[in-house]
Amino acid sequence: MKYKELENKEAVSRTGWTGWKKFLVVLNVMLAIVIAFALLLEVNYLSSRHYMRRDMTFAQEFELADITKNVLKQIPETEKVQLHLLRKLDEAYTENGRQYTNAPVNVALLRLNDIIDELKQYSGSVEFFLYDLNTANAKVVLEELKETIGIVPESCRANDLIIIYKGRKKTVSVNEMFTAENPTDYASQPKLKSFFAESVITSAIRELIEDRKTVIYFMTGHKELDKDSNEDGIGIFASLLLKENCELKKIEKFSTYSEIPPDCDVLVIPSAGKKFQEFEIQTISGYVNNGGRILILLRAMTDTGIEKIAEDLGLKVGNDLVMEGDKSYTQISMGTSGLAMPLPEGQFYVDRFGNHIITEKLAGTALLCQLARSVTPSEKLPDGVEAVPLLMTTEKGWGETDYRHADKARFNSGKDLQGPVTFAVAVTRKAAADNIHNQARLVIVGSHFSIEDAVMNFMPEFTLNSVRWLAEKENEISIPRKNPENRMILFSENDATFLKWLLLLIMPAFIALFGFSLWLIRRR
Amino acid sequence: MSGFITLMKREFMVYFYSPMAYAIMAVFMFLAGFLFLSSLLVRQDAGIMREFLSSLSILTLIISPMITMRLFAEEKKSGTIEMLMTAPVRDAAIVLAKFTAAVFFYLLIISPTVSYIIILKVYGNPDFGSIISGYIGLICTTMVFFSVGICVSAMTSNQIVCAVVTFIILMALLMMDFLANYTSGTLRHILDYADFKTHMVSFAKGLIDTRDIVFFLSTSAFFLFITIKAVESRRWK
Repeated sequence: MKYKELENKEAVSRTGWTGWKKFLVVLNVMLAIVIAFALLLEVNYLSSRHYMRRDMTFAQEFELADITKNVLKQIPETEKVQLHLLRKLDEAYTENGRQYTNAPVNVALLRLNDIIDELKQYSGSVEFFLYDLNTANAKVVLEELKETIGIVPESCRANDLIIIYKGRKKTVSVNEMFTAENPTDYASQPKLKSFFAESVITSAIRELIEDRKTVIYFMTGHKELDKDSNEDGIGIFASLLLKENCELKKIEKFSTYSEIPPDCDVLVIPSAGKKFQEFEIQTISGYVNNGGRILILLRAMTDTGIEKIAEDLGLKVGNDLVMEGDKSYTQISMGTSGLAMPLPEGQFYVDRFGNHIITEKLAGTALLCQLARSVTPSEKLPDGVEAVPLLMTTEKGWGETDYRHADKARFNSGKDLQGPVTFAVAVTRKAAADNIHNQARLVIVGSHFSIEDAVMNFMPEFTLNSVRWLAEKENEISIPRKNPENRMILFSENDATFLKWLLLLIMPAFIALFGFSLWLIRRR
Repeated sequence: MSGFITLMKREFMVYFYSPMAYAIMAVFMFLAGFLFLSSLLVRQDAGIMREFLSSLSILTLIISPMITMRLFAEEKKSGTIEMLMTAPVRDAAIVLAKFTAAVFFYLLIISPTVSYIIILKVYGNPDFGSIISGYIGLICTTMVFFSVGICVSAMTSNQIVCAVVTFIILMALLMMDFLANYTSGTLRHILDYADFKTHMVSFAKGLIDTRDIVFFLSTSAFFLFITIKAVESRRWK
């Protein structure tokens, strides 16, 4: 006690401060710290409201697709979308007599976590709840689920993602979100071949928040490509439309229809191969006049009568085969080797897009095309019609009229159409005043190749954007995503040994020796 | 300003007066090499820098109390703090000089890990964008770790106590999400936001977000402010 008093006296004599003054100083400092803390909270609050986020990865791996952003924007601020994940990591598993430590589903769950993070970052309406089924009390976890969201445990499977919006529920499985690639050698682990969690989740959220599906009718009966046939190869187009919350229907026995069904939002005529009857053409024309929406994919070298619809709108459908004369558009480069392989005859890349909302975000990309016929807007279009070219060749392209000898194809002046040749056009036409739509919209493509699986797999945006524009969903028109590059590392056993020596011994030892010798020199 | 630079140079050079700095660097390189190599051999993918930089953050968590514990605690113990306090420089300059020198020293320690990127480039095709973002994140994280360490160091004269307390505080900051699970409403949102891991992981993934940068810089500034106040307190004790 005496020591304390002495110390206080000493402090007072040293600083000249009495106890009261010292108290005020301490109070002042405390207040300053409290204010600094409040400032810290304020700055962080403001930054959480106004921020910028930049994805630095090459493939923009964490950038949400435009369509996802648009779907999330549709959720009112007062509503929440809840994502409940019943996570169960696969422990070591055995396949073909070999034990793997990391099952593909575990990698998928990790990446799903990234996607959900991004959804949460983008929209405050997304809430995420994780239920760990790897714990010993998994049953308790499931019972908890029953209490909180009313899901019966028996109806749940491991790695189900339950999405809830306004009491409506939709369950998707993580197993539906990826395809795996089995290892080719004994040294590596299985890897994800493809991962599409974002589109699965977006599609599910969309189904919950949208009151009505977009109804798309596919024309049949004229040897059109069939969305349900495995042979016709347009299954991916159909599945992507389903993911966009579309309802797909067929117009079967068209001859019995007096008009296009009234619930039709978009009519797709996928590469008819048989002649339409006159009254069928009239029905379709009537649909166009009444503000209808049609995606027509023409078949090269085949006249079906549907060309008349295009011609009525002031377009000229060529009886030709579009060719590309610029060699850089008719060959494919072989990775980093610098070698290039020629594409099959009649196939070429297109990177010249028209100035239209369908194609404006495709700049810098290329679309593979084949067997296309020219579709050219006339210089003078009928009243109320506007036509914008969508796809065209370079100046070196041409429309080959002697297409039966395509192997000897070359431009014949005066006979063939000179490049740049247009072979896809977006058309609008003013509709009669008493219609739901004030204008008809058509996309006429001189080839069916753009909806085939081979193209839809890699570059679905052109066709999907066309359907979105036709269905008046312009806000969903998206930019093609870059494919993540293969970042596989290849090194031999010798390289691995060298790296072990370098990283674990040579580098640390070099630093240690350098430091020690420097220290010795300094001591002298 | 000149006082700050002189002090910073002096603080930085102090690390190299003993062989301890090189020993720390050598051990760090061995551990970093081990982490990098194990990821590389298992995954055989040039994208392993994400895991590596995340592991490096954890290594930083361990190493930062070792670097910062001596900053003020040692000066107090050896009595040199009186000389420092009477020097014609402001307290803020002293604190910032020590902090900057420590961060530079750490940057020097991690600088050899840049050679790992060269290795990845030789054998594969690394994603430079995500690597740059990962390193920015690592520097931001380090700044917070060091600011906590220097703050604790300014409040105690025992280096061991300083290291242990720093480590406990940093662990607590890293476990905010754990606490958040037991709360709800606004408090849950605040704790979720204050969780260090979330902000660190964003950088490692290749995302640069102004919220993460503001979070790290403001937290760091807050702890440095407390440090300055703690140093000032010696004048009126």
